[in-house]
Amino acid sequence: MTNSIAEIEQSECMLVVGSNTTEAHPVLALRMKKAMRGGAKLLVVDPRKTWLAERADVHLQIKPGTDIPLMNAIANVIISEDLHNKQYVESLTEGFDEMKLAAAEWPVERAAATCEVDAGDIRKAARLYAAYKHAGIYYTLGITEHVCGVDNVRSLSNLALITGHLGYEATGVNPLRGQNNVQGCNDMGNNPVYLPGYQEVADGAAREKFSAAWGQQVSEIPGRRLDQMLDGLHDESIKAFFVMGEDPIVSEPNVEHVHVGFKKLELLISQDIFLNETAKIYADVVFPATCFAEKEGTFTNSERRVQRVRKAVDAPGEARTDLQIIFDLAKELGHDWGKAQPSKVWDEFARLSPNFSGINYARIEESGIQWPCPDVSHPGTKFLHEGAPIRGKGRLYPLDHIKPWEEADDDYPLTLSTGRTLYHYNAATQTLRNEGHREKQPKSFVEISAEDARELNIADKEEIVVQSRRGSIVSWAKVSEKVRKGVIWMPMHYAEASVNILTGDGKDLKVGTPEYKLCAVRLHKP
Amino acid sequence: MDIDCLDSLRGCGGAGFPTSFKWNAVRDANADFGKVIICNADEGEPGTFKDGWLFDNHCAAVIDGIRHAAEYVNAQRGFIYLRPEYSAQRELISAAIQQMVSDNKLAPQSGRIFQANGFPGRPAQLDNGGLSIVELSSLDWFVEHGSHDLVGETQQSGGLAHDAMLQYPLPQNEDIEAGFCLDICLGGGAYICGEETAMIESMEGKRPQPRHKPPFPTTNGLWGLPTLVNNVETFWWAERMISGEWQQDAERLFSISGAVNKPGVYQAPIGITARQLINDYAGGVKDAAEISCWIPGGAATGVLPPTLLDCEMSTEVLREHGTTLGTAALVVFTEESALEVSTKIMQFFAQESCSQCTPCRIGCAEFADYLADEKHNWPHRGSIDDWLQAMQLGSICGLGFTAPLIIHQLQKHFNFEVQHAN
Amino acid sequence: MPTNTLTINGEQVAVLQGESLLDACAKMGISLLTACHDNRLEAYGGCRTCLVDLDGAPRPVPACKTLTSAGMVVSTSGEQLETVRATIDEMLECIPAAALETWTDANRFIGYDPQQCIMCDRCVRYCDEIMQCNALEHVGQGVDAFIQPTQGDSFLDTSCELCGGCIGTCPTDALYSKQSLKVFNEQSDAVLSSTRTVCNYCGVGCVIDIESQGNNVIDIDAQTGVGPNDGHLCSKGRFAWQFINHPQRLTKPLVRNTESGELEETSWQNALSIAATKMLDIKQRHGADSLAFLASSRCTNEDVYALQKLARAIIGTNNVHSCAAT
Ligand code: SF4
Ligand code: SF4
Ligand code: SF4
Ligand code: SF4
Ligand code: FES
Repeated sequence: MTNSIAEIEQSECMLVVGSNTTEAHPVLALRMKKAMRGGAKLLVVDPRKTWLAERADVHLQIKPGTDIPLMNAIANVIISEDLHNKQYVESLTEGFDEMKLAAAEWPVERAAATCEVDAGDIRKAARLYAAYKHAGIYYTLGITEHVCGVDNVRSLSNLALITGHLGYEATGVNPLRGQNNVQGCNDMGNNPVYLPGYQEVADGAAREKFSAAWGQQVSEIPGRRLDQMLDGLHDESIKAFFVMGEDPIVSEPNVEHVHVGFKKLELLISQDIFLNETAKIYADVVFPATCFAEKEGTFTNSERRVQRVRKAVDAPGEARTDLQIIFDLAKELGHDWGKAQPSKVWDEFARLSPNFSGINYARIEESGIQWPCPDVSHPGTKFLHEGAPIRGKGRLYPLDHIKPWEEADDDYPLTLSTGRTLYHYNAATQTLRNEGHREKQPKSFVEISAEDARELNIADKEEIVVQSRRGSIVSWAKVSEKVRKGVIWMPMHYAEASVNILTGDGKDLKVGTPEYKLCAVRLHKP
Repeated sequence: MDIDCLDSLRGCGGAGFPTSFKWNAVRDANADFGKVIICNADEGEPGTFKDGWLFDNHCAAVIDGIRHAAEYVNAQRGFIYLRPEYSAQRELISAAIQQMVSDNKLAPQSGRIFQANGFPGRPAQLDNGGLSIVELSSLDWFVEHGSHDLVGETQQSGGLAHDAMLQYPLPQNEDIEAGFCLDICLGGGAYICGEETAMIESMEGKRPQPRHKPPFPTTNGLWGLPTLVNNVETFWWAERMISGEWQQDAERLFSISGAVNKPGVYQAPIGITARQLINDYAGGVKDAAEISCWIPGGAATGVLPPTLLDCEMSTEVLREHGTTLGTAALVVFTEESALEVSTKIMQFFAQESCSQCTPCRIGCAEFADYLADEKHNWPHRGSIDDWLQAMQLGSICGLGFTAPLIIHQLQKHFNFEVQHAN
Repeated sequence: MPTNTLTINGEQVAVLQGESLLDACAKMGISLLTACHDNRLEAYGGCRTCLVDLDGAPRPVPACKTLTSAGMVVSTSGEQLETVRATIDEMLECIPAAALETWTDANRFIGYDPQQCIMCDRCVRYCDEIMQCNALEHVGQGVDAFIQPTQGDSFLDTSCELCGGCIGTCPTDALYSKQSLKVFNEQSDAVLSSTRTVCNYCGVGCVIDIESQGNNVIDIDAQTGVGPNDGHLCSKGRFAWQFINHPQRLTKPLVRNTESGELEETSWQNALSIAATKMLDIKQRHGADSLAFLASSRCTNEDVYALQKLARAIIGTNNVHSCAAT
């Protein structure tokens, strides 16, 4: 997030794109609710009628996968009605003319037809977003899990840049991170092209710095993204997999294909707190690890705040902390890193990563600090891009519509979209173990519009088969006003009806994020 | 319009606030979003039935009073907040409003009927069981039909939407052009709805709990708009004074009930004695029995002994005896002792406390138990006086402030001994 | 921001417009007892524990519900005032004679004991103002008043989102966590402790307090004013902790028996040495880039840093990634 969670309360206008915030980020949504109570305007872009959408000033219930035409049209309205921040655009952005031309390709009426929303609503949303100073954009997986995920995000940052909605409180462009430490995971260099602290592998000086610090030469060959790793299973260029706390055969799309790959592996090492599906079938070695309540360390939340994780109870049996296991394995591999001490590990990271150098355990004992925080006297950074975008000039991108990887057609006439619900979390290995949560939402369901249900002669709560070109699963119909005609929606949490059996190989053309959000399906009775 | 003629008029709903002061406050309040008038006809004070009587006999005059007040303060919307059991009166009011609509005295939309909120689990009583207004005002009726004994169901009342008030648009748009629009709002069926801010909350579709004051309704009333709230009788006197029919605030309507031969509403001079009211107006005590105790101005004014029957019925004199004129509702008892009557009143308060504030929620109930207990055991650490003081000083609204008066009157006039268990 | 100056107990204090007498007292270091007040909610003024004397007011006023204005003269002590407050405290301890049955709601998270309830309405207001769910209501009057799920339905059928915020704000034990009650062992003398840490579910990063008895987690709670969540939690953060003490947790390293194909328990030494040997062997045969490392974005920063360091500095590959790149 460019901005902070607490600031949301001061918003005058919020543009929420593809985020069912009240269910996926419930406590952050409380700040939005508070802002709404104070009269803030709410604009929601979502194919589904979510809690927020129902209460929004404008709900753009777009056809899934048409975010870019919509954002282009909004940009177009803002520019053509002269609502953009000319001074900001001139002095602090680049690429305006190209972007403007690309947006001009999407007059409101054309976008309205493509997105299947009301043209008046697009105009209204554009005017509201441009009119308020404290207007922030919030988005999640709904926007990134598409073939055009990166461009989707760019289409949002275009809006922020042309209106100058950046660099002060309660504004900016704010991705809401799905998992607790997605932010930290990226910060730590858990990325094939970035070393810790966003220092590029391609950058020789950065490699030298880390090589010197670690006493080993860092390879200059860029690593593989997860999707490329999985591809590597198939052509057998990947032989061994070390999986820490993940269950790829449940969480990755096109499950059948993933299974084929895993069968070819020579070595799978799994480290987790439960025996997950992947480990059960494929692991050669399984290390019993500890959960967050049993270890010391830090998490970094969506607003870049590094906060202390502390040990409350002992791990069961012989389970060891993840850090201890990695240290033990390093030693076994011939590298004695000494005692596995989280604070020392953090300090090593902070020393090598300038944006984090000012953060240490002592400073975050009471409350977390938001990076960038270059030195120990720095208070941390509540919002980014103050005064000017960090890179000097904000880049505006000319964008065009990219069709989803798979669109509904005569054979598979419905578009399936997936997401999280309030009561469960991802593959629900933890929440489904809570009786109370299982009870509130015990089984998988398929939200379907009343119109589609009538046409297909499907009753509420009826058992149905959801079929895609890759496979089929059984679930239960839930006739709902939340989805529009032609679209069905399923939660992603249930192993017995794993939606990843249905989803395709579509992935973002630039960064390989799988297109969880969309695939073409049909429904029939079992 | 000039309201100098109202200078002497004081509100007749129990609190006795100068009427012209309120009218001027609302007239001078911010008019940006409109103003509202509410005629308080909830009449939930046991022993009081003058509002019902006024609608029975002088309905048009009361409404004229409301109209004139509206004209004076420049209100666009008005409501008669009617005790839900008053179904006959509801019809009279509706007819009178229709007549005035045809005479172009009220906006054409006037006369709609809304339902205010009650306490969940306590729907308003729309069925009055065929009782007269006098019978409906008896303490026994109120104690019996308290929170638990439910009669009728709100939802079945001829299509009245329970939350209609909530959705009602602010009185800006159409109505300003159309003139003063007067509607009926059926009360929530709780004693506390007679308190003006609780009444406003109930009209907004909320739980009828009194608001903290300030701010007062004259600036922040219904939907936050400046709101004039007056009792039915106040509007009636005001109308008579404005029309020149009456000059002075020298008389009042007395509701006389209980053990008298001719219970009813009588207009009599302020300062008349209770004995005169009973004998000269209400036909004397039933069966010429001996009076055990009496109530001067509704249940909240507590009991007085027969020895004080010759004192003047005026605020000033009654204050010397520890009470007030209240709603000028005289209730005569011959069979029940002062303690029995007081116990019932306390029980009534305990069940009608809105439960918002601790002193009243707990205090009323504990004192009701204490009075009802034959041995009058007081089981608490703090003394009875401390508890009474906490209620008097620590409550939010009049119910809590005045409930201790019931005990004080027993102590003062009936030698009721305060006892301590420990 | 405009400020007002007022006098409290003879001393002057400047406050911002919109601040209450309670805020003003806090500024002067005077702490008043409160029960119905939660500064995340609109002031209610119902419990009357925070009464203070205000010059010109006919009776004491609740500090929490009274906005400051310039020139106010306030006193927070005095014999009469203190007696009133002490009496109100005594009243709050009073268990209403007509204590009701608890609701027999089938939900497994939220329990209610009307005997402990002081009708401060914090739960109802929390659900209304913060959650905007309106899943709780205050019903009845007088001492018979109580709290129930809206329309009397079970929480499982209402708009309740099972966030437990009502439990969090309840100043008494009237609303309680059924899960905690179930695992809390009254007999045990194991040490009770509270550990401040961060929720492990979503990216909001709520700061939580894990309450434990010996080695058992018995509750998760959050403190007002702490972390990005200001005491709020969602259903997952507050209640989804049964997995921590779950019997299916892995307790020993496992290796696959090459003959039976089953996973079998083994010693750490054995598991580590098999893993290391095989990794080195594959590296030797197929090169460092044939190994891939996948870390969960649920792990701590330190875990992730160490793993990527192991991949980069020991194995020599940049093949490190995680499942969700968002
Ligand atoms: S005094 Fe009684 S009726 Fe008035 S607000 Fe308090 S509890 Fe409610
Ligand atoms: S758990 Fe949350 S949503 Fe449910 S009643 Fe309590 S505060 Fe309301
Ligand atoms: S349950 Fe708790 S929070 Fe709710 S009214 Fe009772 S004491 Fe207050
Ligand atoms: S408590 Fe809920 S909102 Fe907060 S971090 Fe945990 S899962 Fe996210
Ligand atoms: S805390 Fe102030 S009245 Fe309850």
